[in-house]
Amino acid sequence: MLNFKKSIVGVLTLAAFTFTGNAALAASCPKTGGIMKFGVKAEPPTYDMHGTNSYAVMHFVAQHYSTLLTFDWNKFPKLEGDVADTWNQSADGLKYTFKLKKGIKFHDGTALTSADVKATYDRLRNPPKGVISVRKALFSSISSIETPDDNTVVFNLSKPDAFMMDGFASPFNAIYSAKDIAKDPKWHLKNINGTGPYKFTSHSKGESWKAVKYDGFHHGDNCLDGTEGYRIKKLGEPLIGGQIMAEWRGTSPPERVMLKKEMGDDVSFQAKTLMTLWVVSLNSKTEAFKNKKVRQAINMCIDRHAGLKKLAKITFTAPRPSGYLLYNSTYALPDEELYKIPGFTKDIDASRKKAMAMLKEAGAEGLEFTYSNRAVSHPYDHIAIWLMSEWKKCGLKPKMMTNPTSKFVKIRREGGFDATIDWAPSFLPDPTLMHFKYISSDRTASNYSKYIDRDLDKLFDGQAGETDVAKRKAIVHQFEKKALENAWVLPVTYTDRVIALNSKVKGYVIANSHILNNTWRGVYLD
Amino acid sequence: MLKYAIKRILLMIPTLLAVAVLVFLVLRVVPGDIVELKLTAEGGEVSLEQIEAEKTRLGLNDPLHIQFIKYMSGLPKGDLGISLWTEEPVSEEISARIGLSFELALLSTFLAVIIAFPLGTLSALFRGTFVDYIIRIITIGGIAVPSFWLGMLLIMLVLSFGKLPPLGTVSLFVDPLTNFNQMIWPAISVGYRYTSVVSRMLRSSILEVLSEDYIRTARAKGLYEKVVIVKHGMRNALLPTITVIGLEFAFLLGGLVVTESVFNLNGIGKLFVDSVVRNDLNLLQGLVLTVATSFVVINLIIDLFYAALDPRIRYQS
Repeated sequence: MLNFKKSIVGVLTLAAFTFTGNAALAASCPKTGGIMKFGVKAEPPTYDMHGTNSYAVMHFVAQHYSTLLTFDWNKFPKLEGDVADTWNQSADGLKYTFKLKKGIKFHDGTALTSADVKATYDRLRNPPKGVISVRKALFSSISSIETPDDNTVVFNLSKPDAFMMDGFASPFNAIYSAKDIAKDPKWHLKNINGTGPYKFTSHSKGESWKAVKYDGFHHGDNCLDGTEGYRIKKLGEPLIGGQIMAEWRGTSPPERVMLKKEMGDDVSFQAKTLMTLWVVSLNSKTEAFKNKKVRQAINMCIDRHAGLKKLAKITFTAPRPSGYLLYNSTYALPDEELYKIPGFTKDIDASRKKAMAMLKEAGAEGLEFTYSNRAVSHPYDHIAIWLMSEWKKCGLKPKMMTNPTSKFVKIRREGGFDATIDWAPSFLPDPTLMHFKYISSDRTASNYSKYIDRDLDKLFDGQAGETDVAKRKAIVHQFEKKALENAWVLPVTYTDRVIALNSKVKGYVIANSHILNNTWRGVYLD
Repeated sequence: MLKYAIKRILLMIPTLLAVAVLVFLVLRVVPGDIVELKLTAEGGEVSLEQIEAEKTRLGLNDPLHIQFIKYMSGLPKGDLGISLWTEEPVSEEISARIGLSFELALLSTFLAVIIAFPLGTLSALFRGTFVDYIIRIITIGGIAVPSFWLGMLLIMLVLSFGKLPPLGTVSLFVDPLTNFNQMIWPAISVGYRYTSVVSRMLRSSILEVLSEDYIRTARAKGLYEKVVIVKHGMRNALLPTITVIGLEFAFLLGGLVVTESVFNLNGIGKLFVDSVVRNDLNLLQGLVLTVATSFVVINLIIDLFYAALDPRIRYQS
């Protein structure tokens, strides 16, 4: 009888274990199998994640790689380990130690070790000749990288860096194999070998990118048999016609109405504010703009509170004003402080009246200036037309120059404009990442206004080395106020990211950037 | 005939050389910067030094005459340089896509010929009747309607009946049915205009030929009308029609710029658009040369065909 009872308990225990085990598995992959087809509106210029900011590279290539850390997409920006198992930071903020997960293998079968992490970060911070690392500056505080054993990697910093932990989770910092880097530092420009959930199979230039499930994936939540990415021009017809199931960048409001009307319940939408800020950069070489009051007046003519609400109905911009940092994020200037700054106040009539008086005082009444626009419909044309009409309400005479992207970027770099549309994309609302554009032009190449402001530089450096959140916030707020009042770079607003998915696609969690969460972990077809 | 053919082939060389020089010079005047576009168009922190180093690596900082010598010295070997965007050989970029454009051009030509010949002939033979008016309305409509707009209508039509064909080129030799499904709609959208042009040309040519003295003579001899039309009329009316078919075919090889984009087809036309948008000078040069070569070769074939059909041409030359 006792043996029988023991057997019953044993069976129940086993059943309970099996049930909970299955439940855990079910949580990550409720269903497996199928090929997810998605569309991308651009062609990747390279396969090298370290040398690009291209979303096309991210949408096609990210699925093949892992990073040291990643984000918990349900609790963003909470960090979690990708190839790192555990990690700790020294009290002085000068040493980061990571223990790697064991048993991770690259798609070619070689084991991932700390040497691969070191080789990757050495390539990022000190690229060999002929290799481009576009985020090299973000790793300038790393002084050395040590690998005490195969599963431990230690980063030594020359100074504390508040951004560093998030940098380890940047989706662009894909872990490459040390063997591949040693073979040829430029090997990754045209080849792929990672530890990510899907294994590269083929790229038909200008047309498609195919991948299959990697059975040895260390998280085990790659639920699909494979993925197929297709180069598309427009989202509507391919999604309605069943050629693709998803597009990850975003849709415009009119497109969403059309998709809903044509697809009904077969389409689902996910929305989040995208961390790309649209700005207008004023050229510091333009004589009239050397007068701070003229710049402020130009900013004060824009009715952000009413205008952005209307703009958001026709293109994918957020319906509210913002400073340089994403509104409502940890370090952003609170609204009550932001709305006191010239150009952000709610009383537009008073603001415009004052602006016109300032222009008169500066001898810049009816000022004529060029506005350089990029020949892309959403949201460039919409923003441009709106800004033109706002400035004309103050008697200003802006002249729009619209050019294809290759000419537009050349004009922007060479300063052939008075005012230009510009954008500041990011994957995290971190001040080091997002304020870098607004420091002096001899320290950053992306300051297209080309001004020098040592006070801003000092504040930037101060916050970058400050690891105490409250103290850092105070410095960041000073930076925001000073830069916004200087009015060299005028924030328009952030982007509203709404993606359209075929309803069969489940398990995807939208992030604040289209460069995030592109490994399709946990995504399945129902 | 052989002498005539050799003379025509030799004439191709200076024509293509002139195109090569012209396209090189014209593209150097076009503003734009592919390196800046590649590295900074989507934001990011890339220094001027990095941009200049990349330009140097790609040979864009070489003096113009050095770039020209490199480009021209590669041509006899078939070396068109590398694409500045993908850094793959231009010849590979083009050869990966030309098959699709060729197939589409061929299918459109086939559709155009089998429809245009009966339409053009009927229209000429029944000139001024109800049949002629109907055919003229159809063909003038074909010339007036832009192919890409018709393409968009066709996509809407297909969508109203079900799903669009899958994306990604499927080879005719692997899955003919899917390939046909992918190609037929763009072929119709391009073929409608093509049919109209050929049909109008055939109508005019037949009408012109039918008013010639030798046709009157043939009729006066008491030949059957069928023999007069087919043997004496059509044969002579075909000459200008063949020229139009040939030139339209050559145009389709590189001219389906918008149609390929509308139907998401990965052909030469779409590559043209991409290379212009990216300011990929090497690729653009290669594409223009490829299209120019196809024009010149097709012209040569037409000329040889003319010479074969009409001995006066070979004797005159």
